[in-house]
Amino acid sequence: MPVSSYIFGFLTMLCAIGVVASRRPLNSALWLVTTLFLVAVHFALLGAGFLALVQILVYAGAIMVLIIFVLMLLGADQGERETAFSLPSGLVAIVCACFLLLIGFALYQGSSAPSLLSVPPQMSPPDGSVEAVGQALFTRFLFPFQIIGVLLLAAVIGAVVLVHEHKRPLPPGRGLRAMREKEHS
Amino acid sequence: MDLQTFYLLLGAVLFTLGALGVLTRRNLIVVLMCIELMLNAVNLTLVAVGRQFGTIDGQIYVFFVMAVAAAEAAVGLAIVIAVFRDHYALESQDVYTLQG
Repeated sequence: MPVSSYIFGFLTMLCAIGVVASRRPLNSALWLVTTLFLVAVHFALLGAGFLALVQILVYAGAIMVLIIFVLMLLGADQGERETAFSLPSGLVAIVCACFLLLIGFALYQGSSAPSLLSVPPQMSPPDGSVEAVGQALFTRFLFPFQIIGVLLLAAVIGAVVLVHEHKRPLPPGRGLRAMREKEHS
Repeated sequence: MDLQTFYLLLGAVLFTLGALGVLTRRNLIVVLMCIELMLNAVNLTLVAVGRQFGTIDGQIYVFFVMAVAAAEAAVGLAIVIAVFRDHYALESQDVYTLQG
C-alpha cells in the first residue's frame, strides 16, 4: 500500500515542477489539472474519500476551468518575454531549497525524538465517508459552515463589482474600449 | 520512511515549488496557479496530520480551505481581468504602477 503512495507522490512532484517551469501559461494550467487529480488520489489513499471527490469537483472542475477560461478570454497565452530563469530566480531557488532542507531536518528530528503532543503514529484512520464529514460539519462546525456561505456570497458580489465596467472617461489611447475604437476607425 | 513523514515531506516539497513559482514567474495568472498549488500542499498536509490524530477534523479544515480557495480564485481572476482591461498587459514588468 505505501508503494502506490510513493509512486503517486513522485508523479505529483513531477507535475508540480511542470506547473512552475512551463513556458506557456496554458501548459502550466494543464500540469496543474494533473497535479490536482493526483492530489485527489492522495486524498483517497489517505482515507478521505469524500474529500477526493470534492477536490475533483471543485478544484479541478471549477477553479481550473475558471482559470483556463480567463486565460483564453484575455489571450494571455504567450510565454514571458524575458527568460524566466535569471539571477534573481536562481537566488530564489537557493532560498527555497534551504527552506525545504529546514523542513526536512525538522521532520527527521521530530520523527526520532518523542514528539511534544505524544501522538502515536498511524492511529486508526478516520472514516472519510460523506456521513462522517456531514456529521462533523453540521454539528461541531456549523458556525464556520454558515460563515463560509456568507464568504462565498461576498466573493461572488466582489467579483461582479470588480469586473463591472464603469461609465467613466478613460484617458485617451488606454483601455480596451479605446483599443476597440482605434480598430474600428 | 514511514507514511506520515512521507506525506509531510511531499506537502513541504509541493509548497516550496509553489512558493518558487510565485516568487519567480512574471505572468499574473501563473502566479495565481502557483498559489493554488501551495494551497493544495497545505490541504495534503492537513489530511495527513488529521489521519495521524484519528479524527475527521483535518478533513473538515480542508473542506473550508477549499471553499476559501474557490472564493479567492474568483476574486483574484476578477482582479486579473480588471488589471488587463486597464493596462492591456499581465506581466509584472509591465504592470508595476497602481495607475489606471
